[in-house]
Amino acid sequence: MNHQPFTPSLASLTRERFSVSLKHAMDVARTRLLVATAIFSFGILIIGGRLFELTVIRHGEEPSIAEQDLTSGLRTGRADIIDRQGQILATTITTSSLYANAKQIINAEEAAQKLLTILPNLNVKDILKRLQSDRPFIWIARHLTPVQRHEILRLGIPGLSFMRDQRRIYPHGHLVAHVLGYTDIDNRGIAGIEKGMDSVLSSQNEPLQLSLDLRFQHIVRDEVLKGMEEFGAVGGCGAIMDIRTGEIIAMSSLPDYDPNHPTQATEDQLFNKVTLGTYEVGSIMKVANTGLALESGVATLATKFDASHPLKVGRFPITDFKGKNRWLNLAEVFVYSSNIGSAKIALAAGAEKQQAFLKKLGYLDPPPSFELPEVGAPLVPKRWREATMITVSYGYGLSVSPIQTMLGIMTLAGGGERKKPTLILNRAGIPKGEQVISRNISRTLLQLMRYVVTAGTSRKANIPGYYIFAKSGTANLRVGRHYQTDRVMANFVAVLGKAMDDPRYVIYVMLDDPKRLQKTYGYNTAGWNAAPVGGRIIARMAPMMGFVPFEHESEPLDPFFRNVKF
Amino acid sequence: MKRSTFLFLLIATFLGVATYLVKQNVISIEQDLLMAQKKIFQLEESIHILKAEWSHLNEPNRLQKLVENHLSYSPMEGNQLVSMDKVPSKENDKDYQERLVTLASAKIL
Repeated sequence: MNHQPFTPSLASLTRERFSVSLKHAMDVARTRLLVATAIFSFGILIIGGRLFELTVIRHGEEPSIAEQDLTSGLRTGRADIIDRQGQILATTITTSSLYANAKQIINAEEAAQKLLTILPNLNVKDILKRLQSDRPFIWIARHLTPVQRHEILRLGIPGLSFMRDQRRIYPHGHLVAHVLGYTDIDNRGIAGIEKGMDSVLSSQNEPLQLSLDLRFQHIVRDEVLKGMEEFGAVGGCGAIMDIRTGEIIAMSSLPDYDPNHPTQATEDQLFNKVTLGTYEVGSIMKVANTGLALESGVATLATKFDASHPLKVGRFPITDFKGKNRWLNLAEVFVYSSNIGSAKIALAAGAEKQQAFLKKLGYLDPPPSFELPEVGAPLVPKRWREATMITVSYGYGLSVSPIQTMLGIMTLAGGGERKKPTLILNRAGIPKGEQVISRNISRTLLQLMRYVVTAGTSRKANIPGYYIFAKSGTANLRVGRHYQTDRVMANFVAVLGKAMDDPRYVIYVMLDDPKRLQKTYGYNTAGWNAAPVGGRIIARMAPMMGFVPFEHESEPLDPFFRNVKF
Repeated sequence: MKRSTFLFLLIATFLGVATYLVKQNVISIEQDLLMAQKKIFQLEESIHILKAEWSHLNEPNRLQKLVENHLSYSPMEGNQLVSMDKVPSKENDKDYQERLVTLASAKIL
């Protein structure tokens, strides 16, 4: 085909030739137009498709910014610990750590002097030496407060910079020291709850809620501390447990330390007496011994035992503290805390039954593991001789930790069920424990403990209007293999009830080496020191727990008690 | 033909300007959002620190010392609690005045 350019000069051609060439030109134009249309349509189609892809198919960037979840709160890398009322016990805060680029420091001396006005604890010589060096990175101070950071920024010294740092802090300091424990510099738990619940704390963001109640924790610590001062004790501990759930409401071991500065604490301060220490409890063991008598059927409340003469075991005579020197029935043996009577009960029951009963209470095995890693196993005599049988009956020769003593009392006086201790808030309701002694015997033991408060050795713990059931125990301290005559460990355990047969809380107080004082009439036994401290704790905690005092104490349920006078 | 070209040109210009404005608007809103998020984060962090500080200030030992020094309060005692039916009421209590006096003398009211 012969192509000719379509130009206006064609108009000069003949009319016929013009019409033919025009037709040809029109064809060419149409073809070109078609090609152009096709190209443009294709282009538009691509753009349209791309537009469709961008707007409809693919998610834009905007929604991911706009729709991110901000409700999850601040992530600090380690969960907070809170008490049962929601008070913060441990938290992680972002701090600023100050470092310097020594190369950029213009006047090192001036910078050091200025820094000293805000950080007076700095070692000037050391800082100055390092600032004058040529190193690009030197630490000056770690974990500064926002105020300090702000003031340093205002100094406007070039070459100083801040780095974000994380630090675990315990706002209540000493108060909850042994329960919480502490972490190392990398925020890994190395003691207490911080260690025991480390995996939970480092993986979750929601705070960990403890069963501990800060108010009662303070009451216990405050009263035990005052008691230590008052009676010249070198140490002590106190705890409150919920009988029905096994929750630990308060737990304090003294002397204690500040978990914010654990490196400054001494070995003695770091030691948790409540869970790790094991001690001979003295007469508190008589609750178990009386339980043994009733449960094994060896004796009833009315069975009499001869406590008129000291009992000879080998070379040692066993005597009673303020003995009655007559025949005592089982109830009297307990209320007057007769060692001779207790020994005779144990002898009547026999070693096998005694061991089996103590095992049921958990006194012979390590305590059930719970959230604290610091748990001490009881010191059990290797051979169970007659002398062992006798001494164990009134609380010597067998050492258990205070928490285990409390668990035993929870079983003995709290309904006969064995429950597990816990430091985590119970949300599941009252757990069912294994019934190891009968409910009736447990009720009788509770009633006997009431007489210890109203007429026995723990009268100083009696707070009028409250159902307080208690037993005190004084054990001579042992150094090596010998008991010291004048140094004792004073123990006191109490049960606080809503009614005569509704025990709710176990309270434990221990004072290490209380002195004989004029105001205690020269006594250093638990009834004169640990018992009143326990009473004060109850007097302060009971109203806060909503216990309404009674006007008239209800009658004992067991008819036996209606005819006895203590 | 001329008119439709003009019309389409107009529409295209309008859409172009509109797209530009929307885009600018989105950029500035995104900027605001980022700023707001930064602020939220900073606020959350300071709230976190303030909570810890509040907890520290509420340390029971400290409160007890403050109360002992500045207030004449003492710990609540059990006998300050009474049950509801012991509270005198004017409607159904003949000895209202008398009971009020007894309760007042017992330092309950």
